[in-house]
Amino acid sequence: MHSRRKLFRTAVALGIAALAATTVVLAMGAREDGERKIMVVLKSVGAEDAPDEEMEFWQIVRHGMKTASQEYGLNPTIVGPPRERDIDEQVEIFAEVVAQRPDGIILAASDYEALAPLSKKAREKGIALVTIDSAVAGDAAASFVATDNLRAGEKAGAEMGALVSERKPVAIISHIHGVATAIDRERGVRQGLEESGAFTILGTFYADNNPELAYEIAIDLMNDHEDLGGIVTLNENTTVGAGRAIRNRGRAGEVKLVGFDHSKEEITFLEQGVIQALVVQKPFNMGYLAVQTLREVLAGRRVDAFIDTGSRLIRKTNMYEPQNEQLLFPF
Amino acid sequence: MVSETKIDERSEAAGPEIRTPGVSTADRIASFLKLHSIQGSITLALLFMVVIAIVFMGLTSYTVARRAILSTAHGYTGELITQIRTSIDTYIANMESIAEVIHRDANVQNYLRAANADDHAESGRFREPAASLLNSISQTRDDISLLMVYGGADRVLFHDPQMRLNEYASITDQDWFTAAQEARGGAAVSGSHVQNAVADRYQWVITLSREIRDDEDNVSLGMLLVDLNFRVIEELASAIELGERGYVFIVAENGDLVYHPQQQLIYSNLREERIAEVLAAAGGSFSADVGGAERLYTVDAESDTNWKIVGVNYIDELVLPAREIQVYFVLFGILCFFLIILLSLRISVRISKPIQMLRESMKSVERGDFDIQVEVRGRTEVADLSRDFNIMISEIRALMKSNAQKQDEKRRSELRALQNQITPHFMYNTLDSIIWMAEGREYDKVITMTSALGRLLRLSISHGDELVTVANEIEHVTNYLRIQQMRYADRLDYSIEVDQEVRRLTTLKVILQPLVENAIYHGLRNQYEGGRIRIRAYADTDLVFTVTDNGVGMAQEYADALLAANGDGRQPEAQNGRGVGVRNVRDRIQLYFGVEYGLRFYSEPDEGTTVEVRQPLLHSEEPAVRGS
Repeated sequence: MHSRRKLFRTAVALGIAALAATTVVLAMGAREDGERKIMVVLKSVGAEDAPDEEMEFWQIVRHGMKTASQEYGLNPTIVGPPRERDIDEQVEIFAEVVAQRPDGIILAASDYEALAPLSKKAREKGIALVTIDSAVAGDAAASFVATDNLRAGEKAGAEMGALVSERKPVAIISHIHGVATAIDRERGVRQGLEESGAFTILGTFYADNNPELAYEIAIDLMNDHEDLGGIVTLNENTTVGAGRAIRNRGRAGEVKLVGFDHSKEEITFLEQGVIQALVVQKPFNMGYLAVQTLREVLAGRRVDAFIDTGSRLIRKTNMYEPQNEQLLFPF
Repeated sequence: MVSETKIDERSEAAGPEIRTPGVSTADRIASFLKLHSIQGSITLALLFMVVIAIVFMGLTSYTVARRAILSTAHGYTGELITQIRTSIDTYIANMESIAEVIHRDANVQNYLRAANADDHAESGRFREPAASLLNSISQTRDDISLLMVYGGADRVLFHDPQMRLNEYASITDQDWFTAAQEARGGAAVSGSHVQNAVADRYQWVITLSREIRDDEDNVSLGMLLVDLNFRVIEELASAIELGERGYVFIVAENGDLVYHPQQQLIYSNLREERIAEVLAAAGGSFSADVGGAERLYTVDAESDTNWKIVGVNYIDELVLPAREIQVYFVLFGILCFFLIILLSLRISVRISKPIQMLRESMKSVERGDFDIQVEVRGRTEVADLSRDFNIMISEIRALMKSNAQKQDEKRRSELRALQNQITPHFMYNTLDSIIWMAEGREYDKVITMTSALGRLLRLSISHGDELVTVANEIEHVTNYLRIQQMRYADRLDYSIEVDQEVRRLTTLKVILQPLVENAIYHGLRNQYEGGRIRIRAYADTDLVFTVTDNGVGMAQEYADALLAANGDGRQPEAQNGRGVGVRNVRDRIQLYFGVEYGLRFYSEPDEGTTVEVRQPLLHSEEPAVRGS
């Protein structure tokens, strides 16, 4: 009797162990498929009065996120202020998101400093944080997924270096003073030019992200320097302003223009030969890689602190190549 | 007979667990689980079969289900992409018929002819009706994003009069333009691209282009362009859901992607796509491992456009039901596991339990317990076996009983024989003495002696009982001593000391007399000084008699040797028959009370001898029983 009971107990124990193992495996399988709660805080989710290009950029980022989410079976909630300039509102939204304690957050910070304390708090709560496009101060983010602006700038600088003769001076028009992306781009441009030859750089001029101011700066540059070889502009508004100036002065092709981004006006200028080259970012990849990276972080794998989503230099000659077409003309 | 050993079932059951050095671990486990038992064998066999069955079914079910699922997925995906292809073909066919209508239109032909001839008046006349044809066609079709007739930079017709030619776009260098030229009057269908022919307008389209040739002389008059809004195709393809992650993509014959949901990732080399394999496939499906995930590619290559429409399924997603089936099999297996344990317990109750009972009964019998009846009921073989066992046991029991009776009888007869040995020996001596007294005319003495003999004999008979009171036994030996005293004419002196409390105790009868006789004959007879015999009766843990003489005595070894013929019935070379009576007494006591009782001699040469008799303390009411 005694040992039969033992046999029975052993059998029951084995059975329960097997059952438990199966349950655990099934549960883990279900977990793997992802009931992970992921939240995305963007700089802008769009508003009536928001600039088209701004909306377009974030829409493509979201499209990339959606593609990755579908592939990995995730379902992120995307929130953000209506416009990029609503920094305080973004801080508020981010605070709410952190309070909800999701498993992971993707953040595109409107301000380098303003979102840093909350990011730190999120990290302390054990929330995985990945920043995209613009970083936050501190080391709260597991990874920063963005365009390598230094490299993007280098491409623009090298292109300018190839377009103009060393004897002619060149100028840089930056959209803003003291912002990391602008600083990186400018440094990149200078490096690119340096590597191409001994160029005279007239200086970096700040246009306060205003196309009209950029226009005036470009006009002044052309007036002051008869032999101006070219201008490198660091974002859409400065490029558009400088483009208009060159077109209006009838010096298209004579004064070379290498700019950033891809508004319709810029594309027209590119086609017209006012702009020789545009450096464009890859927002789709940014969105996609952000989700992919966050998933890696949540899975406990190591990720690089910085992930370059890439940029591409597009000239008139290759603007309709399939690879560039989608960057210039997103659906 | 009474059961002497109580069988300890627990210690019995624990027996197989004893760890013996040199026994393998497997054997230990086997013995622990009782795997060598019937129950263990049944359980093992059933478990083995079920495990084999579950593993086999689990594996085959997954394979079969997977094959069926993939085939279904292929069929289902095939149908979906055929629908897409049919829709696309319909769009293309519509574009072709639109192109045909425009191409055949007399106004368009006349306009181009006149324009090419730089006949401005004439071209102006046909321009308006030709343009309105384009406009009215575009009104009916939402999916057409651009209709254009191109005769040269200054002779272009759009469906929308507001549109202007993009002066910076070199129309004749465009792929769609050169493709149509190569088609020589046939229609060329482009992949997806951005149309830049119209100023300030960049739209994703599929372009159908065709040379406009003069109806009469087949000379090229210009180019006709029909643009299909690409969003139509994109919506068509992106609306298809192939599981959670599956997708549809379209690739042109030259390898350019017409539509792919992850086009940008592919261009950035962040995603791999099996375009070369898709182009090589004439249709059907294949599976490929892409970036660690197995995918099923279903290719439709029947399209009029020379596009390949490809449905991509993630196999791990598809085979989820097959995985579920496997899980169910595992769960089913676990259930079976429990059932088998229960079933084998059930079976063991029916089969191995009676056997175990029988085995335990046999073990009891081995230990000497024959009072056992095995209660195994039913009609199984084991029940038959049990009945036979019971019969065997009862036969053994009967045999043992008769054997015991015989033994008992034998013992009794021996006892009687021993008792009887005393009488003739003594009677001869006494009667001899009486004769001598009668011859000496000592009639008083004859009377005394004869009456003492009579008392002695009466006491000896004592109703045939073997046990008498100590008082009786003392009286018996007193009479005997009186007779002997007369025979030895006062050369014999004796004393008898009996503790009062032992008088009522019971003793085997005629014990003291042989000892006294022994003392007289062998201790005193050859002595010329007066012999003295002292008898004591007292109790310590036993009832003790001592008979002490002051005769010649002997060495202690010799005294011990007197009793050495221990129980084997053979007497040693006893000097002058000395010891016969003594051994008789010892044998009787030991037959009656057991070997722990009996006699002991204490002797020293020239000092005398003491015999000590030990018997159990028995009160006259108690039955003195050893054995049954």
